[in-house]
Amino acid sequence: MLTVRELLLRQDKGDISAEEIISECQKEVSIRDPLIKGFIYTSWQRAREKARQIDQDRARGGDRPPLAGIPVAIKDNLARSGEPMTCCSRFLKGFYPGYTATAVSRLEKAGAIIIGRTNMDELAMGSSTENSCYFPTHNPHNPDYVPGGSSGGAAAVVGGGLVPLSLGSETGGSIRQPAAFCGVYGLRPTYGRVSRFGLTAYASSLDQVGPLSGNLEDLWLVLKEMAGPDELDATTLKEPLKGPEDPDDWRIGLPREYLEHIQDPEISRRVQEIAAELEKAGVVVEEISLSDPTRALAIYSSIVPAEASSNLARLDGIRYGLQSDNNYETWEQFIRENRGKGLGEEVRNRIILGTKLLNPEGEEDFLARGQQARRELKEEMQAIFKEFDLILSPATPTPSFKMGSSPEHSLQRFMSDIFAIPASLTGLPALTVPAGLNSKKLPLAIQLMGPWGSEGRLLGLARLLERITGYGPVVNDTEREEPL
Amino acid sequence: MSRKLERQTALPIEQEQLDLIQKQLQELGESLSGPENNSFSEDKSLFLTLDCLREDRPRTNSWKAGMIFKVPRLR
Repeated sequence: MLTVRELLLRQDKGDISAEEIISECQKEVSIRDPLIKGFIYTSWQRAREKARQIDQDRARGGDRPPLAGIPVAIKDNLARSGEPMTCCSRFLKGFYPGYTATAVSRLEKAGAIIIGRTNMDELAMGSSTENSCYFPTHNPHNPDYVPGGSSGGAAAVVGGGLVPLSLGSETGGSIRQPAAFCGVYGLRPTYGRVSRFGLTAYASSLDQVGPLSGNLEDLWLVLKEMAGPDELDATTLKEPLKGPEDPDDWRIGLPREYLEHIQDPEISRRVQEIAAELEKAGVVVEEISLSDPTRALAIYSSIVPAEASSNLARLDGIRYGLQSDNNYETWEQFIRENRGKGLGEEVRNRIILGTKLLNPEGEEDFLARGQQARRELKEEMQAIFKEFDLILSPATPTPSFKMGSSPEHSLQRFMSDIFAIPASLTGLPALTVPAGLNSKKLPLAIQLMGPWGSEGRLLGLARLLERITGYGPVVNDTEREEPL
Repeated sequence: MSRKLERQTALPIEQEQLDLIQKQLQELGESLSGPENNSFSEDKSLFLTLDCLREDRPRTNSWKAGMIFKVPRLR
């Protein structure tokens, strides 16, 4: 798949039309997605109509919109009027939102063409996309491995070269971890940079929409269109987004507590190698000390289920969602039956845990502890970014893991997000930067984390890294002979 | 216990699930009760305000604006 820039240039030269781009994309998806299983819904007819409209407008001499004819896939928890949104939950099958998420409508306004919805862990709860009510998605680099999650479908369709861009969402690493597992860039913008309107809420004080792409410049092009204040989301930022910056006397921190949690020697070596390359390029890289990331994991585990249990109380099967056919005597029984039948095990467990956290009843108040510790973590980050421009760390403790090997029913489930969670809790921007393949041909990645509003700085350093290390996105668009 | 939790969550709950949640709470307790976590100062605000996530707004204004992320507690 060509990059966004290349697709725009070819359209400008008259080599290809928006409609032809969509037809090519459809062909590619029809051949290769049965192997990856990244999409749960495609909307080719609607996409072709939009493409035709763009071509006609241009033929009449209209300006080319900034993302004209660019095919984009969206995660199944982003609302788009006229098509189903299920969040890959049995509970929401058949639900059609009557509105479109701001992030999606802004891309459409910029000429992007939404071609379909991607698979995810049910209601964004999971790290492998095995918790979808439809089917698991496969890693495009090796079908026996997971693509990560919860935005696993969005990462896999980009990593597999089916689309140049996708939109994901994350609460605690659900963009960055699958981006790392699939060998692509994944950006968590500063909290409030992109409107959450139309994003199904999981834990509102952490949720963010962000792009995934196989090309750094594409990431910037799409972020530029999505970012900005939105009257439909009071938490959006008014401050203008700054463009990619060139590293100039920058100091990069390498937290030793994070390095201690790497569980794979190849990741360890790659992080050190990249740090050494940066130093050779004149960037100062210093080991720093931050609080242990397992502490952030505990804070996350005390806050997120609580917010989730509150947010998901609306899934009652009365206004929308699965409705049981059985007779019932009370509304309470009816709702309990709907939720019991419609929500998967992982979701139910997190709701129960969250409810217990909200209602400690004489036991220790972990939620209060978590909230206090979150503030302290924020203050720690603010202090470190007074001295350092960015933090470099591994993106995940291991590369992708085999399907069916996720830890069961334990807080260990969050372990693959351990390096992602501190930025999520503190609202800071962070970027997964692909860093080549390991000896098993699985992608490796590092993470860059920056102070509030520093997306441009993250992109600037990633651009330098691409140039000096020779590593970059690893999109696997070769066809396989055997279907999965 | 499970009956009450069933009402609060509007979910059917098996004993096995309760045991699991209890285990998770125990794990959480162990993770949050290290010496590092016993130093929480009492004057820290209990709830995160938006200002904790944003640096573009003076902290004192958040209460006036009513923009507080406060997780509602079940009673």
